[in-house]
Order: sequence, then C-alpha cells, then structure tokens
Amino acid sequence: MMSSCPTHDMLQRYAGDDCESTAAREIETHALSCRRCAATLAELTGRDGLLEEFRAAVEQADSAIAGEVVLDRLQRRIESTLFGDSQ
Amino acid sequence: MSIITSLTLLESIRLDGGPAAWREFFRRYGPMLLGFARRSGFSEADSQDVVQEVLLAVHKAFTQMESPFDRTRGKFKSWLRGVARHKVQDMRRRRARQAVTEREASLMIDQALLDRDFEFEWRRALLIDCLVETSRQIDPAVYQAFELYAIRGESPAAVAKLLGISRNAVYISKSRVLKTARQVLARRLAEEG
Ligand SMILES: [Zn+2]
Repeated sequence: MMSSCPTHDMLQRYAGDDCESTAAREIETHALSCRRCAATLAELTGRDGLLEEFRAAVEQADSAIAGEVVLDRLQRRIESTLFGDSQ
Repeated sequence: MSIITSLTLLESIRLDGGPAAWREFFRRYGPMLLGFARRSGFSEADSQDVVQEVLLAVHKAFTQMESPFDRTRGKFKSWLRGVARHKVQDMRRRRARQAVTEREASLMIDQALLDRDFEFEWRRALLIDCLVETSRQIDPAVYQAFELYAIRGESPAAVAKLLGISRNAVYISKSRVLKTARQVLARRLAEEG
C-alpha cells in the first residue's frame, strides 16, 4: 500500500495505460483518499486523444437520437422488403 | 447480456437470415451506413435508398452465397466498404444522368473521398460500441461517473452528489474507464484486422 504520493511519472504512466495492474490498483486506492493525485490524474486524462474521440462520438450519437424515427422507419421498410409484411 | 461480436452476428445472418439476426445487424450498421450515405451529399430520401440497397445486397450475399467475402477475420469491413461505395456511385450515376448543372455532375467524386467518409463513420460506430461494452465490464456507478464527468462535462461535485460517491472517485473514474475502454478498443481493432 502506497503511503506517499506516486511520482508524476507514475501518474502519467497510469493515465497512459502504461503500468502493470498491481501498481494501477495501488494508484487508484491512493487517489481515492488524495485529492491532489486524483485531480492530477483527471487533468492528465483530460488531454487524452481517445477521450476526445469518445466525446465527439457521444455528441454525434446524442444528436442522432432525433434521427431514430428515421432509422426505425427505414428498418421496417427494409424488413418488409426482405421478409414480407407478416413480421 | 453478452457482447455480440460482428463475426458471430454475420454468422447468424448467414445461418438463419431471419428478422431477429437482421434487426441486430441493422442496429449495428444501419446508423453508420446512413451517416456514410448522407456525407455523399444526397437528399435524405436518396441517402435512405442507398442504405436500403446496401443492406439488401448484404442480405442477398449472406443468404445466397457460400462465402461472400474472405472469411478470415478483418475482411468484413473492407467488403462492406466496397458494397457501400458501389451503391453510392450507382446513385450518383443515376443522379448525374438527371443532373442539369455542372455542379451536380461534380458530385461524382473519387473513391478515396468515399473511403475516408466510410472510415469516419465506421470508427464512430466502433467507439460507441466500445463504450457500451466497457459499461458492461465496469461498476455501474463508476461508468456513470465517467460518462457524466469525463464525457458530458458535468462538475465533479455535482456528479459525486448525484451518485453518492466521493469527488475523488469521480476523478478516478475517468482514468479507470478509459483504461478499460482502451483495452476493449484494442481488442476490437485486432478482430477487425
Ligand atoms: Zn497523492
């Protein structure tokens, strides 16, 4: 169990998914009770490229919810072409 | 609920071709194909027609042919991309014959551009799939904290209060969920080849 704060380098490697799982769990446990490390981790992952991609994808998916009616209708149209109207 | 990989999904369409397997296939690929068709600058009606034509072609290939594409892992994406590109170009040719202006005729753009659009939509659908799969592998409160805080930009204090967890736990949810999501994504990309 880690009593003092992990180094910035360790936090950085954790954020970049470049540390083994025991160390990762220790960092997580430590950060649960250390505001400073928790905030550093959040800041390090804030610049994550994958997170940016996730944000954009979710934003798009949110705005596509309005388009779900369109997709439903399209799906039914294709299904009736494929399987007839008995479905 | 278990995760249906696209390959098992393809297999079930090939084997029974029935509405249930089909509906799942549509759920997974319909939105991205519609996004792809819309990017080509068609009217909404034409975009939907393109999606319909792609999906009918997929269905036909899967139920009628022994092996519509090279069944080694990773070939489905390029096969589908080829079918989708072909249907977009068909639609463009149809529209170009009716085109009255040079500008409309210039809709006949090149293959590289179509491939780029397809890749974009494919990646986006893949990312959403990864988040769904990740959410099933992780403590629901941790995943919710991640989505509210890291994705939707809610304040850590508000999220902590809403979910009844500490503010630190909200901070950590970001790196924890991202870590899992990265692994899920890597696996999915490896499956695609
Ligand atoms: Zn610390």
